[in-house]
Amino acid sequence: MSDAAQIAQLVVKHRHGLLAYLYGVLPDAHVAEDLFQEVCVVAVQKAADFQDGTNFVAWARSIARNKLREQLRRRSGVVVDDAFFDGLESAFDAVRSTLDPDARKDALRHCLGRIQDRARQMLVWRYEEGLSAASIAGRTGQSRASVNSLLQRVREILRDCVERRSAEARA
Amino acid sequence: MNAEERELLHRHLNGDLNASEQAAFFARLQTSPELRRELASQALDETLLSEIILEGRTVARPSSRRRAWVPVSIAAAMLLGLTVILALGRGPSLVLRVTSLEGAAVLHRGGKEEAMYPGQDLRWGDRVATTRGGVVLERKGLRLEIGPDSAFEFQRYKGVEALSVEKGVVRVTVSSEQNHSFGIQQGTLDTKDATIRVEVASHRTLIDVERGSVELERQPGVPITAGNYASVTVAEVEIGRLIGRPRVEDAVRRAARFLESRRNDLVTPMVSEKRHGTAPRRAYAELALLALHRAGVPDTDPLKAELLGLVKGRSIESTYAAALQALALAEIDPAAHHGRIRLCAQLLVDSQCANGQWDYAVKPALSDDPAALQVRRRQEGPASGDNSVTSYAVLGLSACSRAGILFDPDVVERARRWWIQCQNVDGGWGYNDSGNRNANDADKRTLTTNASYGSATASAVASLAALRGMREGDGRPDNAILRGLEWLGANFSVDRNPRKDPGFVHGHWLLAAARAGTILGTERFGSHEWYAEGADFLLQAQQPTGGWRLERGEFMAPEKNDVLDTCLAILFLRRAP
Repeated sequence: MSDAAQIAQLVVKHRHGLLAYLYGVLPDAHVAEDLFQEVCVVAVQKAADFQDGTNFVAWARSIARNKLREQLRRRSGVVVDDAFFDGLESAFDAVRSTLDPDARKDALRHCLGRIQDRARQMLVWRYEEGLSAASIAGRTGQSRASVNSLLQRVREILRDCVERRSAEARA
Repeated sequence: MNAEERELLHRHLNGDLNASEQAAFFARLQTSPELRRELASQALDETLLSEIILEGRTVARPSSRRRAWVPVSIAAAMLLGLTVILALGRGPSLVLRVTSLEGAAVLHRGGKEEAMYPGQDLRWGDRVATTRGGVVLERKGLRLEIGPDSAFEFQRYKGVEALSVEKGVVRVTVSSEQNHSFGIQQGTLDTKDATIRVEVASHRTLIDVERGSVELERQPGVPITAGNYASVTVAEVEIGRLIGRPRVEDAVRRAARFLESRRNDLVTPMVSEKRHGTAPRRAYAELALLALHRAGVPDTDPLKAELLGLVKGRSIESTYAAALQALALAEIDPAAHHGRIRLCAQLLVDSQCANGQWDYAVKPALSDDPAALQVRRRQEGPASGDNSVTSYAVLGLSACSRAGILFDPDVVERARRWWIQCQNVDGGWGYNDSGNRNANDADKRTLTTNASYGSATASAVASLAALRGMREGDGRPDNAILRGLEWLGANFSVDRNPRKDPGFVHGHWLLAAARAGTILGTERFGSHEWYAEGADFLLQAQQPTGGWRLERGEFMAPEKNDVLDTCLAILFLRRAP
């Protein structure tokens, strides 16, 4: 059993992991934010159900599952079962155990400073305004395919840069 | 993972899949552990990138409607976890009402802007931006005094309400009847029966506890009690001793009156007697204008108005004048003085030395296209200068940058390279006159030296921090700054410029330390609380006239030392960046 303040602290501690999980299923920063808030609220309300010493992330994700199911059904009529979430959660756990979000964020910030303005603008549209590839294409006059491939390329460049940087930090 | 799966993954992340493609992608996820891992790893990066981009936006455009992503969510959750606050629907006594209004404040409501007026009731969802004056809001058990240049949002999420402070200052008085929680960028704080002052900057929040106590949700069970402050950043919470604001206010008011009594000294340009020829190098008018402005003297004050007219009307011949003029005008009204600030930027850019320093005299600016996006370097300055004037030039450029002026990134890079090159092995900095880095002059305690000393080191740290702020998007850890901070921590003293004789460039040292601390958002150099110690010292050293006389050397113009020191002291007491 736990109190609301403890849960609130755990939410802060695991925010990146929870947000990433929500974002992985519904990749829209604003939707993920709203869902995250809803998960936080439910977690705090149900604080008494959480057993100290058990896996908080797994518990919070069980709340998130219901929210995600509801959203997927409403937005695209897609229905997913528990096996889908189980598999996904193991993958998120594996990533979580190997990455330090704060260090990763520093590295990303550094690398983001190195990419071209045009590419950065795409990211701003995607994350800040939540525009889809189609909407960005509409704004820039490019084809959807070229926006998709540019965004993919930017992610790859950022990942290379971050990994090179992490390797340097280890060396 | 094959190319098709990779493409599907990226289109998923781009929000580009239709319903059937989405179902197909999820089916692939179920069969491919590699694809799942890739999604998990990419989703974490995307989340972090979103945060970085939204943080950047908050910093770059403080008036934007959307705040950083996570803190809002956390605040909403936190509020539920703590004693509930400001609950809606309890009847008319809980309406939040504008009870006093000074200057103009803008209310954003339902996508429209309205002027605020006394007696008006606020609704949750409203956003309030103040400009020159403050606003007082009250409801039963709660009084909110919102300062000038502040922005707040009254949020409601699932029946729970929060006051979200985006920038500026709010003084909150909470009665004993209710607990209140406040969402700040770095979390929430919880208080009851207390008076606190909350000041929000882009990267940290300062909370002064004047009465009662507050608790930060990040440090439960550790209340911050009356007479202390907390400086809260995402990474850490620093708690320290508060210098009573009424004492500081009184000292600053007396200091402003002292400056007013010395009008003649302020309006007469000084002529340099140093190696640099006859350029007027002491920009008292600009410095006094900045000090009076920071002291809270209104624009209608006759001396302030006279100084403003004077500095805007005369030609700018020295680096100090250009830098200080940019600092003053960018604070007074960056939009109204845009042209003049741009001129200062052009002068500074065109006068940078080949080695990255600045010298005393500015080159007459070659005019640039005033509509051009960037101020470009049109000519090269002299070969070298010194570190003291260089630190002012950098602060001036930083003010231009805050006022929205963009300039050639090479200027920033060249200055940064210089500061890094001339850092001493002990982590401190010296004066490096004419770019000279070899003089063996450690024992000269009454002169500028290349050996490290306090004012030079603090100026260098402040410069590097300001330059870092101008290189948006670059989070490179700055070793030079960290080593400089270590030097300051080890050598800090308020009664003299560290490693120099008492009275040597004392006021400049205190102000440089304040600049370094403020720009970096740190309250401590090593174990020293720079503001508390410095303010204690200055409050005791203030003369009955209201002025200060800290300088004892002949280095500065002796007959005007008290005018200069008083300006510097005001800026320190106001935590000048």
